[in-house]
Amino acid sequence: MKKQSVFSVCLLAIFLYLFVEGCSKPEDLVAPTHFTRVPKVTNLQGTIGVTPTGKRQLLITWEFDTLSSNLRSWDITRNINDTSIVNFVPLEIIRKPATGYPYYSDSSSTFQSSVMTTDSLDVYYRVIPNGIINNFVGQPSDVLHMIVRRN
Amino acid sequence: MILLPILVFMIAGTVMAQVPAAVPADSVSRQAIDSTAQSGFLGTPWPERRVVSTVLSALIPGSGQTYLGHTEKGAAFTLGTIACALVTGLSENNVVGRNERINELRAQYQIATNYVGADTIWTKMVSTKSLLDDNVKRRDLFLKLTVALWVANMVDVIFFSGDKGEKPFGMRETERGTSLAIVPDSRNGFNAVLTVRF
Repeated sequence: MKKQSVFSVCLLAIFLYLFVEGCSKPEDLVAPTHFTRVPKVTNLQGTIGVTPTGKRQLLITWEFDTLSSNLRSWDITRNINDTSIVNFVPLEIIRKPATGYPYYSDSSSTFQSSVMTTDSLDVYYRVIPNGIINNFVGQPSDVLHMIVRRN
Repeated sequence: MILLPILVFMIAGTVMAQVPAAVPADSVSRQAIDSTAQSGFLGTPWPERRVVSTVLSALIPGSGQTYLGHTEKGAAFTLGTIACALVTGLSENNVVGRNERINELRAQYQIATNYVGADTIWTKMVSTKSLLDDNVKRRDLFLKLTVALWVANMVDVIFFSGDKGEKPFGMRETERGTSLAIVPDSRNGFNAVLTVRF
């Protein structure tokens, strides 16, 4: 009887120990790094003007955090009369300038009054930064909406 | 959690204190041992049935009460503790699964090559973490409930459950064999009774 009692109590102690201490510890989240791996595009703006040769020109400018070195270039994407994100078409890669802020000049024939078939065009631009480390493609900019009217 | 081993050793000590020390078989009869059992809690003597019920309750909550004749109380303790332990086990299983999922997503997040993909993985990680936290809360709550029920069961069987005496179990008094009888019944008229005693 005595041995049985001792055995039972030992068994119980082991069971309770496993029951309480065997519980898993919850995993913690890692610190989010994807927001800052590549500097964001900020202050995206556009103006409509004319080139020295008389063609209509859309000038896109933006800013970025110059303190971050993990930046190689930006992809310029454009969409016309369509707001769907998946239909944005890559136009050009703009390399990071040695000094100052980058820009993109779009004087496509689509915007020329002589070619336009409608009274106006809704043009959407989005700029996507590309990093150096692991070629990480950064956070796309907000969509810039510009309206081009026929003269 | 630190109190748990202390509680276990306290109960172990209690159980050990109730068991009569080994004595020469020819010097004292079994009857004499039972009648001169050492004093337990509150100085009352503990017969062997009390010790057995304590050990039973320690192993399976409620079984000691059932052994002493408190069947409803015993069943309530057994079912309550098993239910709480079951929920604890299921929640723990979910915690393990979600931990593995978070590890897997973390690995994917580290090697993501673009913001959109990394952000999607990050959203999944946050959502999984939220579910994981819920599971951990539920598991801890039911774990505490299980331990509390177990402690209450031990306190009850040691202090509050008197011995109702041994009851004959099953059909031990019935002779071996098979019989079929028609027995009059006040409610149904007649009942057919088939008895099989192995």
